[in-house]
Amino acid sequence: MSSERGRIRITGFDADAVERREPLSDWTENRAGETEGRWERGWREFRQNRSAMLGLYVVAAMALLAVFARPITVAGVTVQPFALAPYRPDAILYVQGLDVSAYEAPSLAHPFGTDGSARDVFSRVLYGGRFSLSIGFIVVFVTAAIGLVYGAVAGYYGGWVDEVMMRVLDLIFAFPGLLLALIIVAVLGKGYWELVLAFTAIGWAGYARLIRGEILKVKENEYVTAAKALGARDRRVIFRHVVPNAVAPLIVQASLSIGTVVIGVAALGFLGLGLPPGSAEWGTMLDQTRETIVQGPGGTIPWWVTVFPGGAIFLFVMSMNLIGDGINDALDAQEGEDVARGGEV
Amino acid sequence: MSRNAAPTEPSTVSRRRVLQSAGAAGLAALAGCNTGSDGGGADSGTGDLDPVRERVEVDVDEIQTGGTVRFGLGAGIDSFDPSYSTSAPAGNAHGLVYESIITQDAAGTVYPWLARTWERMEVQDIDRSAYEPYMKSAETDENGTLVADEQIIIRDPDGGQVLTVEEAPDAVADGTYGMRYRAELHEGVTFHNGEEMTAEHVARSYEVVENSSISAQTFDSFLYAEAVDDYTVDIYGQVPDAEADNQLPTTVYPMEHIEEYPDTGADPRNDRTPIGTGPFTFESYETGERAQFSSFDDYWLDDLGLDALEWWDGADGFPTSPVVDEVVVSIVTDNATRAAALNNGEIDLTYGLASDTYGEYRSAEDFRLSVTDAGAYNFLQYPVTVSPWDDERVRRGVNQLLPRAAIAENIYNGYRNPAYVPLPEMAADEGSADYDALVEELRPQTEQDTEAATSLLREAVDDLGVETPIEATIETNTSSDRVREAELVAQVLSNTEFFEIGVETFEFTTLVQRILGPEYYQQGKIVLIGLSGTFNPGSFYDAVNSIDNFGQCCNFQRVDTPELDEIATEARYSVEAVEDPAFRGQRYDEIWRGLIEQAPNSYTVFGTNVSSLSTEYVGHNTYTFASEILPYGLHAPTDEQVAYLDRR
Repeated sequence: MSSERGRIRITGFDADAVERREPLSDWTENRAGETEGRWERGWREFRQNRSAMLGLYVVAAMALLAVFARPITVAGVTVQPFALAPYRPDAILYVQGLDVSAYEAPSLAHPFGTDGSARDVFSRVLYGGRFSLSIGFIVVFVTAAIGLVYGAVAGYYGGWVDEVMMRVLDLIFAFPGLLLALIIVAVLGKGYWELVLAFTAIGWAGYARLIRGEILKVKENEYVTAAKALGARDRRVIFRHVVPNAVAPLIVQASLSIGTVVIGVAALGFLGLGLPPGSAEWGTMLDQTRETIVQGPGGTIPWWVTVFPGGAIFLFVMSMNLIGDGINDALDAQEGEDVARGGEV
Repeated sequence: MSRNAAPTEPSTVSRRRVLQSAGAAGLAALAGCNTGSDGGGADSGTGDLDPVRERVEVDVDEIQTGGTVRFGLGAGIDSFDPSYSTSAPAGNAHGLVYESIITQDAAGTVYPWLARTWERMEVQDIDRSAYEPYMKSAETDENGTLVADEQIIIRDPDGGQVLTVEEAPDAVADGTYGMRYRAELHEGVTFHNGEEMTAEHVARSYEVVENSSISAQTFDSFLYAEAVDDYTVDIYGQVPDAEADNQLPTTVYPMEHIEEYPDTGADPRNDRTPIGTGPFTFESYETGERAQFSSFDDYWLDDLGLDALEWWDGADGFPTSPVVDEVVVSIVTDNATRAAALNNGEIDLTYGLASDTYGEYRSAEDFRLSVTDAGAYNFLQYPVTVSPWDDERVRRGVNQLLPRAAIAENIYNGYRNPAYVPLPEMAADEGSADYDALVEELRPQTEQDTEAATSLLREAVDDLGVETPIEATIETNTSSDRVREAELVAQVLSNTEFFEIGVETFEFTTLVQRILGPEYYQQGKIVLIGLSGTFNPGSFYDAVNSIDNFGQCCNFQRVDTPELDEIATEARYSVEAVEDPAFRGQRYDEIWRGLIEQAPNSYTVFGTNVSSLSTEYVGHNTYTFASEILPYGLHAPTDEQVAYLDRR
């Protein structure tokens, strides 16, 4: 009969018998709400990890200090009026009429001392977080997003698509990362977005390779086959069923990479290829004070101009590593060793 | 000779006496490193005052011979050929190998060197239009400048004609020239390749300069040179030239160089070894790392003795050449690394370290500081063809915002003096009728005066209708003091409502290549760099203002001040200028006033050269120009200067 065609009919199934029999597990409808999601479990475990939480507090504190270091104005409107830093980061204090000279040692008025241009190092370190932190997070977000899509497509489709895409990756991996970033900055010039581009251009490759590997595993699962069998489009299968189950290592990698990017930015800054001289970016600050490391015979080194920005880089990268390790443990993402630690370039 | 000599009488520079005119140490060049002074102002810039502060003298009986002196150079060597170099630091390598027919002491006095005598024979009252009959027509480039394959000596833009080196001999043969000098050369001078120097070498050495990096600075005066006999050469100037004494002579090259080397000059990386007559022969060069030189066994002065120098009246037993056997020039661009090398005994001397280390070297037991008033200044050059910088009110406004005193005091720790006028004091005698009065007159226009500057800028901005803040970038080299200076200037300007100024830095040779680019002037960047001039006052005008030096040192922005060029011409190229120093001074004063009025450049601080050195290197004094600190310190009979190593 034509009206019955295509309908699935089950015969011989006794629904009453199923309801009457002994339960196969202790699951009941009332207990359904007690199930703990993977992310909730992860967060709970993360919170129990003291060192990771310490890292999180430090990063949060640094981020807050950076945001509230100086007022933020958008299109002429002050959206953030607070100023924890007593001076503008680029303010040469004797130009402002203050009786301050270069390389003044830390004091109450200038807790981190002054640098070679008589600028307040405390204000600069606080403000400098804006550069390092924001570049770190932006680069990692963008590279992770690109790598996720790239790796997912390669891993899911496999075959010649995977082959071609992976060879492109091999090409990118053949370049020393920092050197390529250096070339990009040398060609495009110094600047914030130039740095972002320099680190993005190569940074996504690691994520792509990582996610592809995960996806090769995940896509063999029955629920993927089921989704395909039910006629879901590839895009839906990839981003609703495959990626969410393969993303944990990517998050770990991303959290650890923020430190790597910050170190890379600082390294370029130290080589004089980061932000313009005078910027309060931590690596650039170190570059500006490089000459103070060697003094004339018998001269004293103004340690504060290197220790504080250097300490800020150390503290941030260290904290990000602790967070990354914490996430790794919480998501139980890695048994292997193929996730780079922050600071490894 | 004297400046009062009749124009047609022969003049000579002989014996150790003081000329009222100051002479050129070489040609104007860019200075990438710091120079500083010990804080005091120079005395007047007369040629008889020694600019070397606390000059150290050595007892000839205590001189020790031998050893290798190691010199730390703070910039790369852009070329080993002085005709193809625009970098002042590189001159320290050139001066070991190459020599000229004259030399100059630290005060600028000219002495014959490879020449036994150097005399002015004739001066004729002609101007450049006298060469019209000899000129040939020429094409113009896209900028409307007359161009020719051969080196152009004189341009006639109205007639579309030029005089090149091809036509110059005809003019001279007809008696058309401004000056004639005669050099009688020492016999027995040999080049490092064994050639014996003759008049032909001197006459043909100008061929090397043709269309080179310094051609404009040579061919603004030089006309023609011809050998009279084997050891006599006549050198002709285009017009009467008050600076001809030291401007006409050039580096003397061997025939191997003149005939076989390509247009890029000596370059050891391409097997074109630098060959000169100097006391050191070139040994090796590791690109960007070090150059090595060893003493030349057949050095002419060793053979002839100091008595061959007619002007010599120094101590008996004074060495005839440098007493060290070898020189190593280590290129260490980073000041801190160079300071560390000096502290660790890896080098014996260097110059241009960060000024905050000077006090420590001055007081340390094993080190010393040698300070000399320098013929140098730091200057900002504005993009004068790009709006709004093409309005002189904007430039003058900026000029009055510059914190010169703060730059001198806070950045150079008082080791430099504010430049309230465009002329260093060491060139003041010829370059101003009354230097003190000039400073007094111009200082109100160059001293920081925010109110006056604001009013000028407000007027200009309103008239031009430009949006403020005006954004611009100051480009400078990566010397820490220079960067701080740029940052300070940028901040002071940005503190006003008119400007938003950034700073960008480049390694010195990279910056030089960049700013010498033919399109650079259109980019709207401000350049902050140092100029190492010459003993001649004109060098502090021409190099940074004359359109002839566009694309060469040091007119990067197509600065064009034709009416001042005219006065500069008169102050140098006239019989009055040759004969009457007071006339020159008055004309130059007009130029300095005009420069402050038009402000294509702003001069920030004057320099002094500061060498930091180990006490094992005994007797060193620092030369007036950074380009010759090493060769002068090693041996300069003009000032009885010699230095030796005592490594006991």
